[in-house]
Amino acid sequence: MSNDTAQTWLLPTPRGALHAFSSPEPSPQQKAVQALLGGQAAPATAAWREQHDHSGRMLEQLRERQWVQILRREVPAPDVRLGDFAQHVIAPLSGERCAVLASDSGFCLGHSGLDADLAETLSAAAADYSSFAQRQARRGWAGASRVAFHSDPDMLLPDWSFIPFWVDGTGYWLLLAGEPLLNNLAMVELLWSIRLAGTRFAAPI
Amino acid sequence: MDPAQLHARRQFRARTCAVARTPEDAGAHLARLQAAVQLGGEEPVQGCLADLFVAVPGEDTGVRQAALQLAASRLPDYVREAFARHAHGHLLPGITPLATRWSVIAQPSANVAARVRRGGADHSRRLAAQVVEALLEGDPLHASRVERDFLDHCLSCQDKLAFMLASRDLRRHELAVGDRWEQVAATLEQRDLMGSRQAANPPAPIP
Repeated sequence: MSNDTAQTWLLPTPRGALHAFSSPEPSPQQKAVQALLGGQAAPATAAWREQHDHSGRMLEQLRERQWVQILRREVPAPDVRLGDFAQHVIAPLSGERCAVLASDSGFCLGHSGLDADLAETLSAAAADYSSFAQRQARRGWAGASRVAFHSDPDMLLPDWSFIPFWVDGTGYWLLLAGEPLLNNLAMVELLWSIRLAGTRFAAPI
Repeated sequence: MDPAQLHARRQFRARTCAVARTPEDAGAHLARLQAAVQLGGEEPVQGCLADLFVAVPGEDTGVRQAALQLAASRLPDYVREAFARHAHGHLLPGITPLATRWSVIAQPSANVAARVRRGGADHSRRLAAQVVEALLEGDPLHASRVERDFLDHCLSCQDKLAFMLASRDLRRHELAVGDRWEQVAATLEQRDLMGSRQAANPPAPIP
């Protein structure tokens, strides 16, 4: 074991977390990064390597891509009720501090900076777009995933960005007004809290 | 939205795209930094500076110093000093506590307090100003809703900065607040015991 892994802990970076949860069927590498957000605190490096880095190269590869960060102290998971937590943690992901968290079936799971009616309308739009993206994927085009909607003719500053992610097989959408600010530890905290909440956070059927 | 503010955001967005396309172009970084100065708050400026310090080759110390001078008035002292330590050639790691959500090259480090992971200083200041304004305006229904949301935010995000700023301004206006403020203060204080010990003794950076 290298000196880097003695008495250290691991967490995904914002880009690493976005990559890890960007697919409904995650690769072994994506699953290994997801595992960093499975407990009540960031995992110890040695324990994570024992379970997920059988080749002995995974950690180096993830660090080269700056998808994980080695920490010299333990970082605790969010310990708050998720419904409240999501509402508060999604706002900084939007340049206009207006954000919605929706299930891929169209339920609004949390919103901040906008009224409930608009949040529900946008959640329904995300569900429609989700169906569209799945239909395109079945036809062979996987490019319909993240999407931005503009009203400015030069398409510089989006009105809304729709960002899908999947946690333990369940699909979600983040809907962000203005600049999407995803290089953001709030994204890591949000994904972590959804994982920990598990079925408690599933949309009503 | 205020047309001047919209124009500033569009300028910043365009220059951010230019930096993302050519990360080693010092001129593009400086132009973006100038655009960031036109935006409100400290986070966009700090985020741009972190990108420049990570992406522009270390030997280009003149650019770093010029950029720091351009941004200096918009940064808190401790942030300015942290950048100054890297202004003479020491590369800033790609994952750094100096990056903000507005950075596109540098990534923010998780080696920070929960408040910083869950929202930036600008967000804290804005929320504090909102709750003070609502409580002073006197519309009880609106004020009550804003106050409840604010205290929930402080607890969820362990946002001691927002709580401290709002409490200070309310005291200044001699406005009495309910018991829940004391309860939130006690909870934050309790949680802060661990966090402040960590923040006071930050770990050595890992390259």
